[in-house]
Amino acid sequence: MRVSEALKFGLVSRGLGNLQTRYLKSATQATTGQRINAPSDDPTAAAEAIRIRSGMSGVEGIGKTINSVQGDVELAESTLAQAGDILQRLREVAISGSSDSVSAEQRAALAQQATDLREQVLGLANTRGSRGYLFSGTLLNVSPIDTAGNFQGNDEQQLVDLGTGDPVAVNVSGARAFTAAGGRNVIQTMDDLVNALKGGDSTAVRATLDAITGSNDQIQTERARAGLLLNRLELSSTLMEQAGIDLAKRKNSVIDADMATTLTSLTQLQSAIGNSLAVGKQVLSLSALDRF
Amino acid sequence: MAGLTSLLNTARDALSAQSYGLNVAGQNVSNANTPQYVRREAIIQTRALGTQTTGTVEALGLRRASDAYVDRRYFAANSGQNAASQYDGDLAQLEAVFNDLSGTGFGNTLDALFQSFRQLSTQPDSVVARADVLSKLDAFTSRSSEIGDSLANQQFEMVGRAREMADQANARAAEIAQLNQRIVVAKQLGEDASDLIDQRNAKLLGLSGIIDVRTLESKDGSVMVQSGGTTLIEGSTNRNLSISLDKDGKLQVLASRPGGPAADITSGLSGGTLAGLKDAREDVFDISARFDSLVFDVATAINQQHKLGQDLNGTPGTDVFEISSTSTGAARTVRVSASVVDNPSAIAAAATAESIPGGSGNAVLLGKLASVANIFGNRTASEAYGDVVGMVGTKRASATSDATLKQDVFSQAEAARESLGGVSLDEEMVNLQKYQRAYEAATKVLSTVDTLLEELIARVGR
Repeated sequence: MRVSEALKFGLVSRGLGNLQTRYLKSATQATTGQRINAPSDDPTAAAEAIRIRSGMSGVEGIGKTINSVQGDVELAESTLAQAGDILQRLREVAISGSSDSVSAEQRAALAQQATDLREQVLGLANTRGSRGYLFSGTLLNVSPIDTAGNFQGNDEQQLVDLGTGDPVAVNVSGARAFTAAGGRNVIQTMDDLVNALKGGDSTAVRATLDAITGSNDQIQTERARAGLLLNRLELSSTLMEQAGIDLAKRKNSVIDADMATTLTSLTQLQSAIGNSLAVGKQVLSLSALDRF
Repeated sequence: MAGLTSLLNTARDALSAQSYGLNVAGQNVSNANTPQYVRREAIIQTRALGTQTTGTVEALGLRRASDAYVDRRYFAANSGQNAASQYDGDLAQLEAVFNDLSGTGFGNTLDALFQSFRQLSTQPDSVVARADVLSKLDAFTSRSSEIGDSLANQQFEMVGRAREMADQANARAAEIAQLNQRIVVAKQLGEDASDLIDQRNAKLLGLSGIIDVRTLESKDGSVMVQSGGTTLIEGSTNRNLSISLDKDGKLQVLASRPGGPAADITSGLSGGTLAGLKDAREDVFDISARFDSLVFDVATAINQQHKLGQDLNGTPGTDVFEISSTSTGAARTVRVSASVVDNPSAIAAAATAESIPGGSGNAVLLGKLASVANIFGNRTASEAYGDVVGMVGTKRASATSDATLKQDVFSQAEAARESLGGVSLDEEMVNLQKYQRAYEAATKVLSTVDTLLEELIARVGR
């Protein structure tokens, strides 16, 4: 085979060009830390990378959802717990007031106590959370119970997606805790007690005892629902964390470069380029020109 | 028996033949880097005068060290290489549009859009959450249009490039036809026309980069060129290429004689930049259509769900996207509806009028569209987009490996051609020495004859 000048130059420059291309690819992997830097590097993995990213975005989003609603549910739960305690004390007041031996002055004092406790329950029912009133359903800007003691909210649910199954209601129902929607109108019950105490009617006071116990039960039931919801949020949060870890692992195996391999091949290519340059110099300097 | 005088003639012929050889070696050296130059060999042979043996030499002329088969293979390999590298380059551009691996692509836009609905479900009455939905809707439409536009531009630019290529091919073809004519004339005058043939080969190589060429050399020295299944150049005439679009908007290559009817040679294209452009444009066209229908399906699904909800003012949701009635061109034309843009309260987060403002039933369902497999039949939006990216990646990967392969084939064909006709400086150095020594020896013969004659004349003439 005849070896022409162009052939020699071509050999050297093509060889170097190929090596430089591979070197650049390895260097890109090393600098980005990603095994694939364009869809054509590994089409299947590139498509999967998009699904993984989307999955991670979903998991992250649900995590944010849980964080932003959890505080209000906790607040609602503890608020209902306090309301339950107050109803307990109201019941004690009612028991004291139901005795026929209580003097008129004592009864008036009990009436005052009952009025104060009623105010406290109303105050608790009108608690505001991070997104608005806790117990007004979806009417976030309407205080659930007005000064006359009437319920102004609704019993609509605020739904969010927790990533598992159907959307979940994340507001605690004020309607079911405090109004007839839950079976008993708690405000009315407290009004009845105050009126009975003021009227000095021990029979009427006695008659409210069951209603007060029922009211407390009703509030506890709603509080238990809030507790269950908190558990549910906790569970979802754990699930999402796990899913996030799994996705991160998959991303790692699908997209991320193995640094040891990448750096090894980078070093190999470096020395290959060095050798190729040295050989090229030899090949090109071999000439009969300066021999004659 | 030859005398001294004829030896003088022999020496004269030797001087002229050896200097011819030197001349040829000089030509080769000076053209060592000339593209498409094929090395010459001096044809030197003994001069026969009738049946007599004279022992003198003559330089008959020169020969190009070429081979029609090797040349044909070289042109074909060049066509293949140019087609593959054009195709690969165009797909690289397409791939760049769909390269989500840096984390800033359309996939993220989709994820962010659905995430904004999820976020809205936790704060349905918040102006901030609503404004965020609006900005993500806007990001979706503007990113769609960007991608749609760049795909459309790419197709448009490819037509422009094809036109440039066709113009270049026409210029080359006309030059080849002209060179054909000059070569025929030169041959008729008994000249070897090597320089003209080299020039014609350079033009043929240029032409083979644009369109596939099949060359057939005629006895008169002209070359007939067939491209895309039709005769492009014959003798001193050539057909002209032109570019148009067929009824589906696909690239069409036409060939016509000046003033004659144009024949469609698109299906016959088998190499050169034009073939690469044609194939790449079809791929961009397909991917563009697929992306259009992805955007159309996503926007339609969101519109339908949005209309089932209630906005903050208690009116039923409207279309959030203005979109064409079919998917054709949807990516470029999709916009956020005028009734929604700049109007955060128009987002229908609530499922029922009773649940306003804190109702989030519809926002949840809008967010859940992210995981509903309703695109392309049974894929979620991001899966469907991942499919498009995977498809682009697969096409590009095979284009790149094909380009590398065609490059190697070309290198081999080039090596074969170089090995045969390339200039080796070492070889020419040796040739120079060879002819120089022979020239010196011939001079020696001359001076010897001269000395003998001088002596003869001196003795005899006294």
